[in-house]
Amino acid sequence: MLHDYFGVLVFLIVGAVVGAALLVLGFILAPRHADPVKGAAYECGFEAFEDARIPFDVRYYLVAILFIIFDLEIAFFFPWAVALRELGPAAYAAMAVFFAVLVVGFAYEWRRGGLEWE
Amino acid sequence: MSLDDLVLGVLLLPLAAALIAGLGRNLVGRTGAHVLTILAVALAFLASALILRRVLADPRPHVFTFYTWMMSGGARFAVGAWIDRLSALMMVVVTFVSLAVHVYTIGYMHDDPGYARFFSYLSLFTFAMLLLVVANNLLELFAGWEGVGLVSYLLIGFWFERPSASRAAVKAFLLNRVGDLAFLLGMAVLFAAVHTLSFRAIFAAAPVLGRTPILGGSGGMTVATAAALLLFVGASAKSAQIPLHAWLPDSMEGPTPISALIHAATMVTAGIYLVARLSPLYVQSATALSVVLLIGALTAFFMGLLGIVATDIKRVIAYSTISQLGYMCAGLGAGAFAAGIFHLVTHAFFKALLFLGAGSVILAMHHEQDMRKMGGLRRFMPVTYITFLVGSFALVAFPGFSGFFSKDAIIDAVGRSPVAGASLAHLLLLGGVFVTALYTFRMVFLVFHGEPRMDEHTRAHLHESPLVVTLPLVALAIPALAAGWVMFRPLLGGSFFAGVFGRLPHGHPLGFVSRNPHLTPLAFVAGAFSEPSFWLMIAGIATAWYGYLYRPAFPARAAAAFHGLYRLFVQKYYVDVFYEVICARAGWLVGRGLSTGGDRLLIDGGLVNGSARLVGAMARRLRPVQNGRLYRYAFVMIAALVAVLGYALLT
Amino acid sequence: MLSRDIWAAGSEILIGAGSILVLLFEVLARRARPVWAYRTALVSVAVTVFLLAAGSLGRSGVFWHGGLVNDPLSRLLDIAAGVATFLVLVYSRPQLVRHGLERAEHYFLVLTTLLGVLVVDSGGSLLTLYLGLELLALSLYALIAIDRRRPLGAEAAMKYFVLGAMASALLLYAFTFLYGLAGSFRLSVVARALAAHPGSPLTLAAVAFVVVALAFKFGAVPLHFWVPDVYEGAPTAVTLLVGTVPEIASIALFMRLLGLGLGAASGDWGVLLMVASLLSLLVGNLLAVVQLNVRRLLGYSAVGHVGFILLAFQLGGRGGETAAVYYTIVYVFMSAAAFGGLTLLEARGEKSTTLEDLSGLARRDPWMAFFLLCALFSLAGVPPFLGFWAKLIVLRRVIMAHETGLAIFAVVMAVVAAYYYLRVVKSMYFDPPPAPGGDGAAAAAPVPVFSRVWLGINALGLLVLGILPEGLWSACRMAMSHLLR
Repeated sequence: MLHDYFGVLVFLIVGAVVGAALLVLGFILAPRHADPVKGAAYECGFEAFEDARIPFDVRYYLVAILFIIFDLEIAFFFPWAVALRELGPAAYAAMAVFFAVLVVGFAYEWRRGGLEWE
Repeated sequence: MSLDDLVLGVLLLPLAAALIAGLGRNLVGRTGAHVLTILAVALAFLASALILRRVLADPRPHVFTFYTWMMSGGARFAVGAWIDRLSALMMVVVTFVSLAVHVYTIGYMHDDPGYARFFSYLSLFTFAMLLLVVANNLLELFAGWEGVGLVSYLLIGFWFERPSASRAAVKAFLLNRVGDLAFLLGMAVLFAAVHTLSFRAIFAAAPVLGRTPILGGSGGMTVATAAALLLFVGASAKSAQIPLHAWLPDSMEGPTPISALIHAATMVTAGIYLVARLSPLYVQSATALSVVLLIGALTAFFMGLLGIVATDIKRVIAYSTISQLGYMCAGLGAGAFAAGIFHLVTHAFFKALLFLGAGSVILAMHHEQDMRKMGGLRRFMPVTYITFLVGSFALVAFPGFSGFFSKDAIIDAVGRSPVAGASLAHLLLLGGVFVTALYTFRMVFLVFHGEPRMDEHTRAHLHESPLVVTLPLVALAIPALAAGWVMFRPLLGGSFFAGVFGRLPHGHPLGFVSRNPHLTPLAFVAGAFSEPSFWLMIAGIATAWYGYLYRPAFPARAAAAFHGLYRLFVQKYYVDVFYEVICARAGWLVGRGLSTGGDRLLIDGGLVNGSARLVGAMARRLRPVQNGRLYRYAFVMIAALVAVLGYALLT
Repeated sequence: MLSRDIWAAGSEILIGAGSILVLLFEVLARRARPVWAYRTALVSVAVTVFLLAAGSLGRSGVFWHGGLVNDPLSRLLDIAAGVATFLVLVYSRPQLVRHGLERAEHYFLVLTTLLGVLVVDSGGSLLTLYLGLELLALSLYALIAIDRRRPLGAEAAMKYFVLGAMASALLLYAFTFLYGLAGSFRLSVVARALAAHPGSPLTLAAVAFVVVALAFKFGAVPLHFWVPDVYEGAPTAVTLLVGTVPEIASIALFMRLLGLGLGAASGDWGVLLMVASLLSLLVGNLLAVVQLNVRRLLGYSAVGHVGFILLAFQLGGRGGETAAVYYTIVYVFMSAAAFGGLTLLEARGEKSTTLEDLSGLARRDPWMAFFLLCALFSLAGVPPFLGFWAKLIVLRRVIMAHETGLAIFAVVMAVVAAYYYLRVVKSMYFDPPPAPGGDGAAAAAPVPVFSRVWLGINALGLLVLGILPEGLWSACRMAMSHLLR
């Protein structure tokens, strides 16, 4: 049975080797110019090196979570759209129900003011 | 309506009425309470009469199961009914007397603040007694048995603000507990042997039980003897037989309708009914029958003697009840189950009548119960007097009155019984006849004849009781007078109870009737005049007449002459003293010893508080683990996972 | 084929539709009062329970390629969960209204909780079990934190969320093992694969992970830490939910996953569960003794009851499992009555946090005190209450398996449990009420009759069913004798 996972093992090893090689190569070959901007905060608006326990603005999470939800829906729609012809009307109906639930959720969050920043 | 519907109706109507009148007494009010309960009991009586008619047409026992209460280890405990002529007859008697008492109570309890509560208890009692009577297994019977015991306790202590009533209630309860414990043990013996408590199975197994030694040994007592004796201890507590009789006289603290219904007519006969019901078991044990016979005869004679010295009218009737229950017991012990039940029925009528009559007197006397302060009441209360007289003649077994037929049948049966000890019992019962006549007519003469001895105020207000009181008196006087004539031939001729009772292995206790299958009630009455019991009864009445009407000073002289004997009677053979001084004191001492040494030191100090301290200490030790920190929780979780994985993979 | 499958999920669809409807109210009519959400939720639960009980929903069989299994057990558990949710809704509303917490979201989340339970009840594959479990757990996380003003609630939600996520991860990890072993998510295939490879290390690892994850969900020691904190921290109406409905999902998960899926490895998980059961009995009951906070007390006592349930379950075999299912259902309704009583007390404007808050309750509100008394007696296992039979049946099973030592230990712990339950009763009936002048007595308001009547039915039901115990027990036996997978 372990035999079945041999491919996985090879994949892991290759992945590790390639990743390590890239890092090492970058370390050796890349030109290095120190610049305060490079060490500055990332675009999320937080300082990069600070105590991890700082108060976050909850709106940031709200937007992120909503984004992820709809992002995942797209991931659902994709294979469905590709295979729609083979799946037939049942799949269409199922997706319609799914979409309807999604719309209710979306409408809820809109009405609740989840999309307003201020 | 089908028979099982009828039985359910008889059972549930009084229960429903009791619940409504008791729990909803603010809702239905006083009138609602008595209308509801009386209606329910009246309907139950009608249904019982219908049931009796059905079983008269079809004598086979009808056995129903209404509901399976639980299944446990293969044993099935059910609520059902066993309807045959015995239970149907009992149902009619119970509902009839109960109905009369219900009506009577309207008048008797008229001014009592606990009016609705009283009616609720009465109906509840009727339900419990009916459950006891119709039961088709011992457990169900026991449920009814405990039910009537409970209501009896509640009603003796009905006027709970009186200390004496509370004490009497507790006394009745405790003495009955002794019997109940024996009852439970008896059930356990039967259950261990038969693996069920249904009558059908017990009856079927009875002959085998009569040969099986208990505890698996090879000699000694048989299972039937052990079970029968244990159950009889239970029966003797409920039916106030020596030595567990002491609660009954005290129970007279309860309101008089209760004394009539519970402590004379119905509940106290539950023990008699139990023995009769289980007669197929009892006939398998000669020992048990002898014990029943002798206990009954001893009770009949010696408890009757106490009636002669009692001064409280209700206590006289109470002792008379104990004594008459002794007659019934003796009849059962002799194997004459039909005669015992016959006496139960007639006694129910005439004793309820006597109690209600006494209640009527007490009512007129403004709750004075001492007979020494009465006298000459017959002029003021003619209806009460005549009905009371009818009851008295029935009680002393005057030929022609109902009590005569049943009591003489018992005496005759005991005289011919093959059971060991029958000749001694016969003598005691004959002596009892004289005693019965003496105390009964002492009471009649003291209360209704002679010079009035009450104070002026009471005397001025003497009058006959209202109709709701006298009507039940008349209603009960009729069967007290006539029941014997109607029931004599069917009950004793053997056809009515055919197949109901167990039969003795040899001999036939009702020999004289079976020898004369055509014996008519009239011939029986005529034959009585040549029997010694008749002349003993006449002698008793004559003595009463001499002592209490002709020479009123005589009793005091007699008491002085036989000073020791008199004290013995007044002190009720020192049974109460025995219970209080020996049993209670010893129990108290043992209890105190166990309390200080065993309970407080060992159990409280060591086991309870010790284990509680142990629990507390362990809890305190465990408590800090739950410190509220998330990473601690997560750590323990991971640790548990590692431990589980380690265990799973290492073993 | 498709319509057949869709009808089979009728109860789930009904509850799901009800929850969408609740949300729609909130979207379309923001000014509408939340009472309409409440009514919608109540009606959809009642209709679902009725149709399930009438047999019109949840036709028996295996559907959705094995994902959904309808058998008598799923129906029984669905009905129990539905009734419990109904009671929870009825008890919680007055308290929510009084404390200004009544929002449509609350009812929405209660419905999704129930939906999760229904999915787990008839989960026939690892996937549906996980799906239902997560739906249930996510709803609970949100509900516990729903009163954002209370830091205690937020803290409890945080703890529950982090630990719950860990447990879910462990469960998923176990599922990967099982999938690797069987090549399918279906429990029947997993069971066959397990029977074919007895004692393989992969099986053992899977069993270990599953047991840890399930023990967490049920709140068995040593994975119980969230229980008292959540019971104390959550809003009372949510504690009422947490203490009742999810327990049905837990036993369903045990039954489906361990009993049916991993039944072949019962020797392996039996020992683990036995240890968890003994620890739960010990720790839950001992720590309950020293609690002064009633909800924390009931939380620890819940751990103790889980010990009883696991004690029956670890015996393996249908007999022990039946006893466990019976005990769980009984426990859910005892718990519903106890927490329902506390919730309604808060709705009256009283505090019901500490033992002292309850003192003298019998004089202030005799009926409420009596209902609580019924619930507590039943929890303590006093005959003739229903809880007595639950304990009796479990103990009988344990003794029949010749595990007398375990039975004695369980009885001793039940005695300890009786102590702290009776202490609450003593407080209600024999302690003097707290000194007047506090905010409690002054603000006492009547509780809606509807809620009170249902609490009465619930509490007296514990008594009546205790006197007539045959029906529920035979229903459980029937359900457990026709299992599908």
